[in-house]
Amino acid sequence: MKINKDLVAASATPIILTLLQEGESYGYAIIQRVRDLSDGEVIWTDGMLYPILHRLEAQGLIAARWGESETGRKRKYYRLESIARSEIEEERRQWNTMNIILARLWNPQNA
Amino acid sequence: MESPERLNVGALFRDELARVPRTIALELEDHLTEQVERHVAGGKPLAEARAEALKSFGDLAVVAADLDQLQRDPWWSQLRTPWQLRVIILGWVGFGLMCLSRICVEESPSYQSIGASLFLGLCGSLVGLGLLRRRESLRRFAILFSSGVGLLLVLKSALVFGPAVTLPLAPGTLPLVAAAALLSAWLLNRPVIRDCFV
Repeated sequence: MKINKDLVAASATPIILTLLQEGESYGYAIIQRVRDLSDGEVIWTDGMLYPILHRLEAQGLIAARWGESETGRKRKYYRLESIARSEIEEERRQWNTMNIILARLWNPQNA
Repeated sequence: MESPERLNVGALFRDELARVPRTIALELEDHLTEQVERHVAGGKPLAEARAEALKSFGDLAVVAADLDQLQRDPWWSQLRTPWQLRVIILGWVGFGLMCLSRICVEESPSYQSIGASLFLGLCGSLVGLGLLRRRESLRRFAILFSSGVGLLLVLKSALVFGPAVTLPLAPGTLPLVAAAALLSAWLLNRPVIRDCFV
């Protein structure tokens, strides 16, 4: 089963923000982590990540710094800004609500 | 199999990234290079690894153009200032301006000056905190700078107009200011704004 494109796009921001809650990271590592977490069900086109990261940075939800990789290459690391905590909480509420609605519709006996 | 350490994989994407702004190119190059290194370490020939990396990345030119456009967008259009904070800022800025306009027309402007200084200091802090929160370091600077300027303005007003002045505002406006202060305090305590200040 592959997750459809719209759902992947809609969930990208909360996924990225929540992943960055675990600590500083960079583009390639974020994509790999998502792949691992979803057991390969969610496949992001690598290139789709960067506009989202840059947008979140421009919005002040994450911050970036230039560092070096283990091999000495220049690498841009991203970390969560404190303002993003309320954004994550809001996303969590919205996704939980959608989850509850669908669960009730699909399993009426649990409603 | 070629050893990734010995490969100059960074140069592999020079052509594709030639027209991309430097900082964006560096970031994308790091990503593609790491991808190639993994493929090569997994036993793929360099040319195949390069093609795979480009394929899984998607349209490099479109992504680069998108990132470039994002950098050109004015920073203020991308801020996510909560509406509650905007209400507070606009309210107090308006009040500060009103105080200033009264200073200009009254002969004895002492208490309004102190009031205006106080509120302009407060406005500066709020604007700094709210609008410059893109970077935490800038926000800290804004807090210190705005607080310092506000304090200096108050001290200067007190020195110029003397210690005889005790009321910063006319008594008739106090209920209105008290209500505004309460509303501001309530709004500032909302989680969406509180998080701006943490």
